[in-house]
Amino acid sequence: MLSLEVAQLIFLALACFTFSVVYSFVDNHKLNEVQVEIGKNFILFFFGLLACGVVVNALQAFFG
Amino acid sequence: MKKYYSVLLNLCAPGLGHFYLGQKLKAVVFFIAVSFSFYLGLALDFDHYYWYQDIKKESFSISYNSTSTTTYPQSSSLNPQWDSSVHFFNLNPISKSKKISLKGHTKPGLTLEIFNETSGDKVQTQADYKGFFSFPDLTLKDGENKLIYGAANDFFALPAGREINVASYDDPNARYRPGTLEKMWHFTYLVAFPILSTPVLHFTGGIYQSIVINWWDKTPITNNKSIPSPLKDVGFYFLVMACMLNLIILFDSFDTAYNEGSEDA
Repeated sequence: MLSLEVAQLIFLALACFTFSVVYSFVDNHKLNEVQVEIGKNFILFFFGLLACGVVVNALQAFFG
Repeated sequence: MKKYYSVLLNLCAPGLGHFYLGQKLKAVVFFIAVSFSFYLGLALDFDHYYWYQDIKKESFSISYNSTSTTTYPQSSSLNPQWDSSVHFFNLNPISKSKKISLKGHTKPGLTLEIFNETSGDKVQTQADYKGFFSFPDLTLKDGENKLIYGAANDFFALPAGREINVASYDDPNARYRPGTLEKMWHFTYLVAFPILSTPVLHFTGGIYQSIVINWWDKTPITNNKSIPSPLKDVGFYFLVMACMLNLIILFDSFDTAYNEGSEDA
């Protein structure tokens, strides 16, 4: 049984992966470029959103 | 014309336009990506096809006849997309029993009531997180009974020990009046979602939901008895994402056909 936070992180990762796959196929023509781009996009989207979460939490901690 | 055909085909099914343009791998990947987002969203957000504005009071006549030999099988089929907003499994015109317990399916979490105009008896219940409801026994009088059912605007809350006003869905002068933002959301739901999610996904969604409606009971992800509301929100975001992805795919098919530069493009 997962905690709610972990379940949400898994869904976030799934959403980021789906988005990065579609974006890679839209932006690139060759399959090898697509494969590399999927990884790059995923890291950007996933950690970007996590960073947003950290910023929001920090702001909430500061301003209440 | 090719670019317009590809957009139109992508509006029929995700990736179909790319398939038409000969990009078969892209077509398959796009179809899987959009379908995955859409169906995952529907599995988490069960009230996607239900509308408060459609929940009106309805009436039904039921006759109590203890000698009736007519038997009615209890249905359990549901389709959130096509069923009426309050869908009964066992609402039959003749009852052999003096007390009836009505069951059915509606918008998840909705408070409901049945008022027997003939006997003055009223029963209330609340639908569970999947939308299933089961009323307490309602007493019938001899002969024909007129039942009025719908959303319970005033719901008896046990902790308060009295009826509290939940909402007034069917009264135009009551406090439930959708504002501009909510009207925009209604437009998004009723027009943008069905178009962008394509007919293939939109019209299979109700059947899909009726199949997967019990999935959380069998395989819960977290330690909750029902789908927690943050995950229901995640489902809604997945549905939005499916539509947004399909929008990107529409542009891409147009772009691809345009850039091909062939005589047909």
